[in-house]
Amino acid sequence: MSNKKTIDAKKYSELSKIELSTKEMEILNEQFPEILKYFDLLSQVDISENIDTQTLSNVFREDVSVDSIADKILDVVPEKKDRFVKGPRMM
Amino acid sequence: MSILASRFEEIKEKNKSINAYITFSKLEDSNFDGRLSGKTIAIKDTISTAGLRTTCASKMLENYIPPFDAHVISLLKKQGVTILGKANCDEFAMGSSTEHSAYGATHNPHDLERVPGGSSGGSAAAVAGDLADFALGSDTGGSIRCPASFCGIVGLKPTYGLVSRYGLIAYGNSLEQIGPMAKNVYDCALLLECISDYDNRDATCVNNKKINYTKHLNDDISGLKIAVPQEFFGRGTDPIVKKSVWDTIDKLESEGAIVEEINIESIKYSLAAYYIIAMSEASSNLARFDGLRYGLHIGKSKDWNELFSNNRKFGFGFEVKRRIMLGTFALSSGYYDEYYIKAQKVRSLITNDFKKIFSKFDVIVGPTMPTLPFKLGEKLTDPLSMYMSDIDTVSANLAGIPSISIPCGSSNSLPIGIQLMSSHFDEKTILNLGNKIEQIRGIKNE
Repeated sequence: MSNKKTIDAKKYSELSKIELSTKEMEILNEQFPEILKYFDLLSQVDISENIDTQTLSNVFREDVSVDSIADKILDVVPEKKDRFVKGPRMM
Repeated sequence: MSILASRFEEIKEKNKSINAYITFSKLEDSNFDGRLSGKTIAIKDTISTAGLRTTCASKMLENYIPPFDAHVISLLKKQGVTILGKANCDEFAMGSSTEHSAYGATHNPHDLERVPGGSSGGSAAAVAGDLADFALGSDTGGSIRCPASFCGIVGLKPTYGLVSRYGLIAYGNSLEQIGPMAKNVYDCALLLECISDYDNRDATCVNNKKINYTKHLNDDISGLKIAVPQEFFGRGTDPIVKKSVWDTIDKLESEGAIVEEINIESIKYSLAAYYIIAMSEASSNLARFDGLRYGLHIGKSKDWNELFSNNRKFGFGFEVKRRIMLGTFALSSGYYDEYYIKAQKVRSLITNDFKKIFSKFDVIVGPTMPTLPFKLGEKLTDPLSMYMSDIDTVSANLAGIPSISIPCGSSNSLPIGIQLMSSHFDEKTILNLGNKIEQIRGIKNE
């Protein structure tokens, strides 16, 4: 394994569902090691002591019906059949 | 032709050289008589406006017309403001220069060869170039304060939870807030009063008692405790910026404020933690742009995978692609603990450090930007150098605290901004201090 950590642009373009041109792939493969090196600054931080994680709580509201904008939302769908979004086969 | 209609024509003409707007509204007189009647506003193009094209400066949403208003837009309309149009920005708010826009870069009104800052660069340039009285921006890591500083206006990122994000098209949703941008502190406080309102459609919106920020602009500052972290003046800070900010701090001290230099060591990790969290959230938030339900839709594909990848290939610009991929990496199996979880823990560490400081001090002060506005194209091919521009602003987003940028000087007619931060929901203290800075500099408010 090389000492220089990097991110494989081809693998992550597939995982991200973004098709890249060869030129874009080349540029990213060149830039990723430098960005990753900067991110690795965090490996210096000692987080062994107990750090208060942010206090999170659930937010609830009453289950009451409100006016729906579903029809307006369906208006912007490029391809549809009745009230369904039409898409290509999954596989 | 009404005064507004003729002014609108002038604005459209002026926009040709500044490119602050992507889309202009169809000018309509407001039916509401409110606190902003007769005033005009530019809205960042990441904020949904019913019936008015909202592109996020992306090809992906080139023809997207939102079916609903963001909560802040509903509030502003009730105050009688005239929305002039949608302001340019970096695509999906990802950038610090407004060069990453599918509709061309915005130019800084103070020097057309320089960037206005970003990502809310169109909003800032509209206000600075007199193309609107006010603007709304959104700030994920400095996107209101950076362009406010570079364009010589006032811009405030509110406490996380003060302003509803309903209708703000998400980038880094745990970090971002919509906020006011204006020519002076009074206008900024007025606009904040109009948009800070509880809304149960944003589950992170906090139901606090409303504060009249404009009523607290002349509070006495004697005895106010100001902390100045040395880390905000680190390597990369232009000596001209440093001097201007310190001159202002010295004047505040002579007005009775108590100033102390401090250290916040965790700040040096804030930029890396910020980018890992923001990119991770972006990779998840932007997964909705699949080309099926709205936005760009490129013809027939053999399957869903091809349709998804193809739409994103043509719909997203290069910076958006880069950030989604880096975020996907940070969230992927094998790297999740090392990057995303670690960044979240560092975020808690930074938040706790800020809380400790605010138990002893009222305000933290430093520069907004480490440099003067840079030239268009200067950092475009070097992403890390562009990311570094946010070094002094991101910690406020990680900690969720309010932060404002106020003009404090200039060099060769390029503006310099001073940044003031306060404790959660204590916007009134930094607005008051900002107002004092304007008084010291002889700027008259309305």
